[in-house]
Amino acid sequence: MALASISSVTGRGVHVAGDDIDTDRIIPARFMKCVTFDGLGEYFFYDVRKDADGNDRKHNLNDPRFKGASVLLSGNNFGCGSSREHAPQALQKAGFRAVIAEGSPKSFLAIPSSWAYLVSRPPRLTSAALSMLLRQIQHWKSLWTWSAAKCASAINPSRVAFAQAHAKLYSLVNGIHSLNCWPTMMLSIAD
Amino acid sequence: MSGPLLRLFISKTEFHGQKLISESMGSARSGATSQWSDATVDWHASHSEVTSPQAFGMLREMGLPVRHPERTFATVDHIVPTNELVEPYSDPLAQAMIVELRKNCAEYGVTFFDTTTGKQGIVHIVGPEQGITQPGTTIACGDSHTSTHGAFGAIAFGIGTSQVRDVLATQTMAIGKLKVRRINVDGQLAPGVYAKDVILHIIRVLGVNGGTGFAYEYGGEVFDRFTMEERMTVCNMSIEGGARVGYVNPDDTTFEYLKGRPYAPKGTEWESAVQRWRSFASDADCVYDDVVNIRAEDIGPTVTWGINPGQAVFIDENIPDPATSPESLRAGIEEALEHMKFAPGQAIRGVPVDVAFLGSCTNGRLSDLKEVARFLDGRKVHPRVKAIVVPGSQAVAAIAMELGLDKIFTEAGFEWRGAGCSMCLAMNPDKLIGDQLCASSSNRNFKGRQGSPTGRTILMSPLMVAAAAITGEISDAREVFDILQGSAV
Repeated sequence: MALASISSVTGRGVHVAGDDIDTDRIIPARFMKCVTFDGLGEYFFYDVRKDADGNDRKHNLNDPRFKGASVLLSGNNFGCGSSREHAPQALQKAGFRAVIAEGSPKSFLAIPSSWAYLVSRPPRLTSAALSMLLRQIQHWKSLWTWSAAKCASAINPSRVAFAQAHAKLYSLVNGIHSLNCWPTMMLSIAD
Repeated sequence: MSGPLLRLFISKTEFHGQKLISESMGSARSGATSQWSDATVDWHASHSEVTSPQAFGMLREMGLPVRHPERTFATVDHIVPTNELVEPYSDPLAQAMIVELRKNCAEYGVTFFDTTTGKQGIVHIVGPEQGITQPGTTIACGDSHTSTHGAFGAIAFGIGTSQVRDVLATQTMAIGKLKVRRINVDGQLAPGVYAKDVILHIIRVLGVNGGTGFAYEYGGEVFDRFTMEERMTVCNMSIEGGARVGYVNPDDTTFEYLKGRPYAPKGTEWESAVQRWRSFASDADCVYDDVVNIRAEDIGPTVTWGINPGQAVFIDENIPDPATSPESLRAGIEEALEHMKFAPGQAIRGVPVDVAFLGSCTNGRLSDLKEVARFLDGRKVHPRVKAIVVPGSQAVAAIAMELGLDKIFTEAGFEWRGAGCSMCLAMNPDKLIGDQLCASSSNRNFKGRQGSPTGRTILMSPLMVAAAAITGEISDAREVFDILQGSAV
C-alpha cells in the first residue's frame, strides 16, 4: 500500500465559506456505516450540497465552474469536531488534494497526511494573501499549483517551530505512509 | 524538574531546554530536534466498529500482527440499535460492522466486550468502569471523545483510522508537543448547576477553537470536589473547545473510584500503584503556558442555541442578535439562527421541544440517571415530546435497573433503552426527523449531527433535558423541579 509521491497539486480551487466547518458537515455520521473508505466520496459535504429531498442546493460545490476542483479553501478551524478519518478520506475520494484553511484543530491535522493532501496552516497566510486567494478562486479561471517547495518556503522560516509541517511535506513528497517513520524523517530534514 | 502532569507524556525528550523525564514512558523515543515524540500508548481502545475495520484491513494488507493485543480493548457503541437487542440487526450495514469487529478481535486476540458479556457500552464509559483507565497512562482510541479518560490523570487522544493502524502495529504513535492551559474553577456551584454547565461555560468563554494546540488541565475547588463521573463529563468535551486532550490531576477521589475494579491493580500492587499515581500530579510550583480562572458562582444552567458547542447562553439569557454582535461573529450567528429557526435576540427559554435525549459518553453514566430520577417523582413527559434514556453501558443499565431507575423513567413516560451512543450521532436507528428540535445531554450540536440534515440540537445538562421533556419546552430545571437557588439541594 505504498502511496503515490505528491510534491505538488495542480488544479481548480473551490471556496467553502465559513469558519468552524465541522467533521459532521464534511461527512455526516449517517454515511459512516462502512468497513472500507471506498464509497465516501459520494457523501462529502452531503448536506451542504443537497437539500432534504436530495436535490442540489445553490452552492459553490455544485457550481459547474468549480467542477473537478482539487483545492479546497475554507475559513478558520476547518475540520473541528471528530477525529474521524472518514472526513479527510471523503475529501480525498471526492478528488481534493489540498486544503488551504485559515486554521485547523490538531485532531484534524494529526490525521496522517499520508492520505495525500496538504493542509496549509495559516499563521503564514495573511489576511491579504487570503483575500487574494479568494479572488483568484472566484475568478475560477486560474489553475492552482500548490507545490511542496512553495509551501515549505511559505511556512518557513522557523524550522523548529514548523517542524510538523515539514514532516508532513516530507511524507507527502516521499510517499511515506507510516507515522512512525517520522522521527527519522525529522533528522533528515534537520540536515 | 517540576512541571504539569503532561510531562509524563513526553519522555527523555528535550523541549525548550527543559529535560522532561518519565518512568512511565520508558520505551518512548523521539527525534531530538523535533516537536514530535513517538509516544508509547499504554492502552488502546477500539470502540471501533466505525473507525477500526479499515485499520485492521490495512494491517492485514501489510502482513503485520497486532503488537500488543493485550493492550487493546474493543466494544461496540456507535452502530448498535438500542431497542433491538437480538442479531441480526435490521440494518444490514450495522450487522456487517459488528461481525467485522468480532472477527478482527478473534483473529488478532483482542479482548472484545461484546453485547453478550454484560460489559458492552460506550467505550469512554466502559474503560473507566472496568478500571482499565488509570492515572499516567497514554490512551488512544479512534474517537475524539477519548479525552474523557483524562479525568483519571491519563493523557487520552482521539485519533484517526490510520493512526489506529499505527497503534495496533506498533503500540506507539507520533504526537506533537502541546502547551498546557490550567483552567481553575473556584468557589461553589449553585444548586441545579452541573459539570455539563461548567464545560459548556468554559467552551463558551474560550471558544470552540480556543484550545487549539493546548492540553487543558482542569483544577480548582470545584474539580477537587467533583466525583469522577463529573470530571469525566468535563474532560469529555475538551475536544469541543479545540483542546487535544483534557485532564484532571489524580487524587484520592480517583483512587477511591478505581479500587476493586476488574482491571485495577490488586493486593500489594494496589498500594504501590497509588503511590506512583499520586506522584504523577502536576507539581505545585509548575509553570503553565496559560492560566484561566473562572468563578463557579458565575456559571448558570447553560444551553446552546447554535450549531457549535460554543454558541451557548445561560437559560435566562437571550440568543444573540447579529446586528449588535462583533462583526467577526456575525456570519456565524446568522448561519446558526437560520438553521435553528430562531429570531435574533429571542429568549431561549420557552422554545418548543420535540425530542429529549438523555445519554451519551458525556452524560450517560449512573450518576446522571440517578440525579434525574430523584427529581422525576410523579412528573410526566409532555405529550408532544419523545423522550429516551440510553444508559452508557450495560453495567450502568444493570445497576440502574437494580435501583429501579428504569421504572421511574418509564412511569414518567421516557423510553428505557439498551446501551450505546444512540442519538448523540445517530448512526443507529435513533434519529431526529425533519427539523425536530432535541434537548440533548450529548456533546455536539453540529448541523445534521442527530441524523436529520435539518434537525436541531440544544445541548444541556441531564436535569435540563428532563425539565424540557416534562414541560415540552426549553425550561429552567431549577423552576421545574423546585430547586431553590442559593440553597443546598
